[in-house]
Amino acid sequence: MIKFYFTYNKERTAEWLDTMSREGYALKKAVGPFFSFVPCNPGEYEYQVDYAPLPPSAGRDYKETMEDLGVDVICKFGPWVYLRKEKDGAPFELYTDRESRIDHLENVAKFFKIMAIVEFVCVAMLVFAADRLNATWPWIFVAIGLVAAIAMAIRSAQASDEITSLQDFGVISKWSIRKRTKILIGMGSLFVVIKLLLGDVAPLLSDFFLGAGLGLMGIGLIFLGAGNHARD
Amino acid sequence: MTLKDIPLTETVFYILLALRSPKHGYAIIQDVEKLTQGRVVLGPGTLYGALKKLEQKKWIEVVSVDLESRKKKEYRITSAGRKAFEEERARLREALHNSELMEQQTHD
Repeated sequence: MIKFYFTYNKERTAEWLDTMSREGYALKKAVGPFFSFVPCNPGEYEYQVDYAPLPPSAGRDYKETMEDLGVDVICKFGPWVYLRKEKDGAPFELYTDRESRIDHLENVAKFFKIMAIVEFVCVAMLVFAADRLNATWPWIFVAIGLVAAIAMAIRSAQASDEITSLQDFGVISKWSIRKRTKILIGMGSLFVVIKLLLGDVAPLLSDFFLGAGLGLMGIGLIFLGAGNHARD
Repeated sequence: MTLKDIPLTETVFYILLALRSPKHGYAIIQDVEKLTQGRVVLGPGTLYGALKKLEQKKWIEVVSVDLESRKKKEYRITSAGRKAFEEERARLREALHNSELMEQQTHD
């Protein structure tokens, strides 16, 4: 059986896989948002998704250690490693101390930040291409890309805020990184929409809104990294 | 030894202590859980990351692995690891000793 499930939040993926296991389906393979399942005893396994970008960190050594601890490495897709453990009553948590949780979240935040910036650059180039093509369809790609970039930026900001809350006397200020990111990107999106509405009516003004909109979004993404990761 | 090695994190402290004798991953978790009466339970990701870092620092080492018998990989503490542990122990002793001042204060 193959199912489609999409989220940028791997904790949510793990929860969903737990639900599937309770219904009698065990994960066999994950390729992007597509998951294949085989039948299992209901509630046999519990799942976790780890972040391990480079082969050495999810290589033989990783696999050996996990297996020694009763954890099966099911498969790897991109930087994500899908892990399962037979349900034995004890909670299945990968990171149990503050230091390792912070390290892990930093990696996740960095990954989504880089992905968001790459996506954003692609979208920006696409916008100029679409503007010249004078057709509707390129704008659909722009919209999809923009949604993805924003979702990834917010995910990165979320992880950064979580890091802050874990750090010594961590208090998330009223202006959390997530909030700042949302506001800047939201304003940027609004400007781009204004540009689209203005269209050819006022070319100069519409160019201004496009530039300002992309600029704001860019600043929003760059500010992600300006969070208080001051460690070491 | 660098300045930021001490104090040790609780995870590192207990892994070093567990490796006073050679152990594989699962045995480390069990030993730490027993020593702390279930208070410290190391997650797989936490243990793996800590072992990698300690191995890089050469505070622990892999006891020769027998590949043919598919024996589990065992680790043990090195002399550098013991030195770090002793330094932490001295720090903890001092902290514990100083903490007794609190009693005097409250009795005044």
